[in-house]
Amino acid sequence: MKTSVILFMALLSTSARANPPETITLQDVTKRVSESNFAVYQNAIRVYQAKESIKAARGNLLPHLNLWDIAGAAADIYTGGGTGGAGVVGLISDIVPFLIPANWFRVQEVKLLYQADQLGYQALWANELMSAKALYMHVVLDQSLRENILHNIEEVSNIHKIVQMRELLGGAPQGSAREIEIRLLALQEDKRSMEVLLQEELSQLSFAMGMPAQTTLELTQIDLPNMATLEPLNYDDFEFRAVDSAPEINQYDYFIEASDYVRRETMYSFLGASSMSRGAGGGVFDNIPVTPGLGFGTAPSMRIVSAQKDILKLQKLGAEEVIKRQLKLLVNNYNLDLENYRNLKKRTELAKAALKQLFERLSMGENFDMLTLVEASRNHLSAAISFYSVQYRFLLNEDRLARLIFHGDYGKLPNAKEQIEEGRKP
Amino acid sequence: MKLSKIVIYLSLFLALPGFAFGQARVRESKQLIKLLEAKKEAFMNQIDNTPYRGEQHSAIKGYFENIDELNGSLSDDWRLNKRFNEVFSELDFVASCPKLWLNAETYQRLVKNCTKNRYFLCSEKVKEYEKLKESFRKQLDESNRKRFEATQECNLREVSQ
Repeated sequence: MKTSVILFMALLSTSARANPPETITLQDVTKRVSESNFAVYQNAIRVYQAKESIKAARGNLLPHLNLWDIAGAAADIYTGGGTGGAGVVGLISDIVPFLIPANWFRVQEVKLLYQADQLGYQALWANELMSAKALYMHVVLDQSLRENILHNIEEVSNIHKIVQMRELLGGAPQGSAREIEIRLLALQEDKRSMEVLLQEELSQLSFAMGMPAQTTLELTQIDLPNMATLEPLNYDDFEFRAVDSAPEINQYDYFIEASDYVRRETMYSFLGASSMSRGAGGGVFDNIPVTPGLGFGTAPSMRIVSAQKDILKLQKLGAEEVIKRQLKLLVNNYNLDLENYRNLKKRTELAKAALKQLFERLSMGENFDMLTLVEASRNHLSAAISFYSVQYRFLLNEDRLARLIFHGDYGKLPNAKEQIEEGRKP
Repeated sequence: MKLSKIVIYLSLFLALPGFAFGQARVRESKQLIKLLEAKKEAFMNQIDNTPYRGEQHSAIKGYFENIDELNGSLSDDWRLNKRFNEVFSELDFVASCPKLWLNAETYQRLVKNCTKNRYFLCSEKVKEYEKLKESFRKQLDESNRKRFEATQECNLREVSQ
């Protein structure tokens, strides 16, 4: 018996050591998403690629050795110039690539596309961080709601026992206990659903923080804001900042600037086309047909580049409008929650007082419809849930606003290069 | 005799583009200083026009962005940097610096006007003013830098965020 107890204790301690819950705070989420989120880290590598592309493009301006081209040119000369000396001319792109203007334009394009990539990285990081923080807040809210449901289950169970007793003694109409039991069962279903939802949210949160699947998280509570002291927001105050700091909009400036170089590249294609890659972010201009030599296709190609520039300008305008609309909606919701806060607080207090009064009447032996008590308990639960929800929704809106204007945590963009050097290697 | 004349004319002919480019850079340097002065004036006209809306924000951002662009031009083109320093050395720093730079009091007023409900609402460049001025200082040659640091009106260390 003694041995089995020791064995059981050892097993228990082993399992506890194998998977201890990890306590995290909202600040830890910022740090972990910045360092370990899969999408963020992947994008940091992309930025690193774009940066290296600049070096590659610069390096490609210098002469390079292509043995097969040299052999081809030598064979041409030896055989009497079967290709009319084209092989020798073709060597120019290997020996003096800096004489081809398109190569210089490509270097400029790669530099600009790197800047655009960095902004893309900033936008992605901010979105991932916002989603992870929202998940954290949802988990904490759902844990509070679960606590409330548990408390309500306890309350309704007590009422159920009293009603059962009264039904037996004839003090309550037949079927009252059954009605209450139905509600009790519904509450237990809610509790179970909430537990599943919590598990799912915690799993998503640990994934967002780049943690292994077996991680068990324990979240620290968040200090709820004192909404009574806060002032409503004015959309006009935030419009400039939201548009000015949006990487989604600003990256279009680099694309538009790069399109000018693509146009020049097309214009001077008669001096040779560039075979250099535009780097990780060059996809925007991949469909532009640039053929070496001056031909009838040059003018349409230039018009295609101009049209691409127009598309980019329109996309920028579209992104700007999306940001403005998001901000407007956000400010409206923020102000709505501020206005509703006092009402909800009062509603919760009144519901609590009504329930307390009914329990006092019950304890004094007063005979009244027990369903009234259940209804009061449900009202209290509903008011408490609404009150918690509005406070967490307010927190979420505050965080979304911070994301839109790059305030607080969102102002501390992790350095992509440091991410690569210090971060985990895949 | 004839050969020496040819050599002289040829030298002059070859030196001409260099001289012309030099003059163009002097003109560009003067324009850069004038532009910064104009941006500062436009910004100062709007600083107390609160709450800031698009017009005010554009004027404020314009000034700070201009400093950034100036620094970029000076660091990218060493010839322009050289001419700029020549032009800059001819300025009376006591009179010019207040026309080009913000003093601590003005900067703090700006930051206060930019902040509402805990949120900073102006361009992010505003926060980087100290860094921008430091970058500009680095673009100056030694004598200009020493004069710049010694002149109270150009004092960079006065401003702290």
